[in-house]
Amino acid sequence: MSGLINTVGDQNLAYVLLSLITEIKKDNLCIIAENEVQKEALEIIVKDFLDILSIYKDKLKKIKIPNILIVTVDEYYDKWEDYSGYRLVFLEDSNLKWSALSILSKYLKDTFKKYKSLEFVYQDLSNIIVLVDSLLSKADLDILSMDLENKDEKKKRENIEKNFFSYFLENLKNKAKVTLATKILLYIAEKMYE
Amino acid sequence: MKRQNKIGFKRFQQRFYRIYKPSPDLGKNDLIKLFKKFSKRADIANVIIRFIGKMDVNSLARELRERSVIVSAMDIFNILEKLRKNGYLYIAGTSIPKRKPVEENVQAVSQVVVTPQQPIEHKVIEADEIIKAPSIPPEALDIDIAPEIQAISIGQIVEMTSVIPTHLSKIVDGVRDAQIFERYLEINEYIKAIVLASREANIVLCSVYRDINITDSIALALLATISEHSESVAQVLNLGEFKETVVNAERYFIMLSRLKYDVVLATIFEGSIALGLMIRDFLSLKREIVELMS
Repeated sequence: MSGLINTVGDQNLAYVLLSLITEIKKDNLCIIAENEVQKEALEIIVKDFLDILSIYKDKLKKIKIPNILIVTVDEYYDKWEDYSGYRLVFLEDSNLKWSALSILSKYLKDTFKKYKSLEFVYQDLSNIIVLVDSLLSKADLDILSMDLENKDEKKKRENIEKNFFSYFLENLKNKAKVTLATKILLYIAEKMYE
Repeated sequence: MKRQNKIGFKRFQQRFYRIYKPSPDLGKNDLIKLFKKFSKRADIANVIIRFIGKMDVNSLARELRERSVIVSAMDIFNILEKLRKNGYLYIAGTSIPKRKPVEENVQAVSQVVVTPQQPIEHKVIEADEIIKAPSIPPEALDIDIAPEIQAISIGQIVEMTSVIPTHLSKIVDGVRDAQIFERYLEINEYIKAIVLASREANIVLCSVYRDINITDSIALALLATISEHSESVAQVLNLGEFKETVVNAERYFIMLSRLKYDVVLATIFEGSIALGLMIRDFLSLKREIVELMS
């Protein structure tokens, strides 16, 4: 497993996993690996994650996991027009300045260092998705996606975010996971209502 | 190697169909500041942030031009890539390229060049009514016939073959595969013709014409004339290396530039085009072709 992680890179892997779980609009997602070796490593990792996530798939109401295709960069550019309409995940974009990405990347690295396995990460991510989906199904969250100027509306939004934080803390216990879950929720809510 | 070249050209083509999205951590004001910083133009920033994530590079450029912002697709691509490399944007997807029918006149034929190494291929037509001319054996005439000369009898057909120098055929493939000319025709309705020609081989490599009565042979002649005179003038007056020439006629502009390998690029624009737009698009087109050549 450490060979697979080293081949892909923890930042790249975090970007792939985060893109996968937050893509709610496209049915298909295409991951573009640098080379054949990286492609094979990603296929194993993504399959392992999806195997764990599939246990919870039927519980999800708002979040849907897209179909995933993994290609090398040459394979992609050779037939790039065929992938128009896919959500594209270029590993070069893993340097994106996104706080959720930094949190997940660090969490991934620390967990693997401690347990020499990513299973806990997959399980935690699956739990986060279920909790986020549950909140999205119960509450009307369009206020989270708005550019608010009104003071009262801003206050209302802050209170909603605090409630979510408490909800996640109760279920996830760990502050880093809670912060990640909150960021994922805000991101998905914004996408849903844009 | 050929496949790698093809992939390279497709990579080149794909860039203009990319849809970029900003990092989720960036608000509207953050984006405006960043675009102003990286583009150094407030007019671009205010428009782009309305459409980023929804439009591809080509469409963004078109949208800006409709708002009288003089900018090319290449300019937009460069700005977005800078932001991407700095971690502010990512590629979310691509749009589907539209295939517009364009009046395309592509000539890739030069005269036959027969060398001793290339035998002339010929077919013999046999028909009942044709009277075959008697062939006189060489020994009867006591003539030494060089090996490269073969007797040609009535009815034989010499096949003509087209030849583009190898180092130029790569450029032709790139321009076609990346659909460079088509893109510029689409984005700039003032363009009437784009011609890429080789002075060395004296052929037109690629050309497109739209509602203008010009053929490749005429284009070749005018390119040769303009570029030769421009070079002479630059030399005589000690102006430095000749780069571009603009010809301003009553109904049209012609912009012409000399590139590597003695290749000439020329574009004919309708006379009503804004000069700034014409120069920007021509230089952007030139940059793309130079990038393909390198």
